[in-house]
Amino acid sequence: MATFGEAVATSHVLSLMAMEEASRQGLREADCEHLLIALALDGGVAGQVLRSLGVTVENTRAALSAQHTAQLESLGVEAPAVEPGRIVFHETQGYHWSGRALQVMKDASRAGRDGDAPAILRALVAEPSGFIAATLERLGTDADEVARRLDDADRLPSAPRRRRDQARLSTSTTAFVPAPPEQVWALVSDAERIPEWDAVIGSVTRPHGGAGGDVWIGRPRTHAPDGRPLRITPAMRQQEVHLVSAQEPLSVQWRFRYPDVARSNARRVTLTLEHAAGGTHLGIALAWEPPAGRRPRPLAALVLRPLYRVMLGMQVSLLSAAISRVFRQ
Amino acid sequence: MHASQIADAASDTADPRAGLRAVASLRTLTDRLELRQVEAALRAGMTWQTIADALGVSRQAVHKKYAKRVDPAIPVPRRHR
Repeated sequence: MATFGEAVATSHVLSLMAMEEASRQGLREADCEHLLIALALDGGVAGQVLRSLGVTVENTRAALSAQHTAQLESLGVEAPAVEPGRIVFHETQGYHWSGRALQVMKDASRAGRDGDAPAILRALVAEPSGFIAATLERLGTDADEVARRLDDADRLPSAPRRRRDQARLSTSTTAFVPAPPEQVWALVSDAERIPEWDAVIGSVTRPHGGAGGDVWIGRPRTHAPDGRPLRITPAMRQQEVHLVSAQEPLSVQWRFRYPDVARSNARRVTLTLEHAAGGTHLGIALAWEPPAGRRPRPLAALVLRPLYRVMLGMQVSLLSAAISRVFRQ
Repeated sequence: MHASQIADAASDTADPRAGLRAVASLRTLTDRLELRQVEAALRAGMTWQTIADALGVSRQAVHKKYAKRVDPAIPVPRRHR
């Protein structure tokens, strides 16, 4: 059973990845097929079940395209090949869900169901048009097999919950990245490639007049993805980017801090990589660390903790989606 | 699509469920092609009115549907043109 914060973050990331997939196909409506792709990228049980059945992102894209082509041919229509483009979700607007995809998500939240990724997958493979079922058959599996594997996974004892360090603002998640660990390592361990996955940092350079060692200067993006200029307060014009540790190709830890902002929290991001079927299992831990010497505020922390939990869950999920996006273009 | 292909499409009603699902595929394809053509038209400097005329819909309809959905890097013609 997922906590509220985790459930919010999961459904948010599924929506995000489905709409990103729609956007690369030149669509602004996310449909059941895009939800299937998003689930094949899921870091939890739903994604693991799909990938164990060969339903990887790459295979699923090909099967969906073949299913559309076959259906059009059944109408006597020879479809022109429309090559997908880049993910343009972040620079364009007007996205929405199709009615039937919304229905799938409603079905997944009905009485007795969790509304989490496995519940959405169960509802999706049973969607009434039969399009998803037909696509699964093209992939050498079927809706019943998916449901059986989900049942099997349900019977396994769930992993013991990680004990949280209540005193610190920290959270972690596991994600799936559709690329081998070497490629993921090359992305996440390179300071100059941080702008490819960090939402704020637009460029990374060595500090002036020195080797710098493990420290770089990160400068914020000056424009939003849709081209609007962003206003940045002077104190936020540079971040210190510190490579705390790197153990190729297993783990890397980055620490980000605004040196010009008094009393600002530092953000520590720890990424662990592990080989998985069809890609990499990525562990992501995010911690906000108060500066040394700041007086603790126990009452405020107690009141705000649930809100912070949801925010942290969202931040870490968005980070996972951003890292996987590099390999989904 | 050629006229003969449309005729084929109209004639194949042996399996209506598969046929209806195929029509949904066709609708998705139409959506993809329409966005692509509207973006191409804007890049070529066509006005919303010209695009609307070619699509056979009102200027307001095409503007409402696509103004925010197209690539924001395309310089979009001003309203009165």
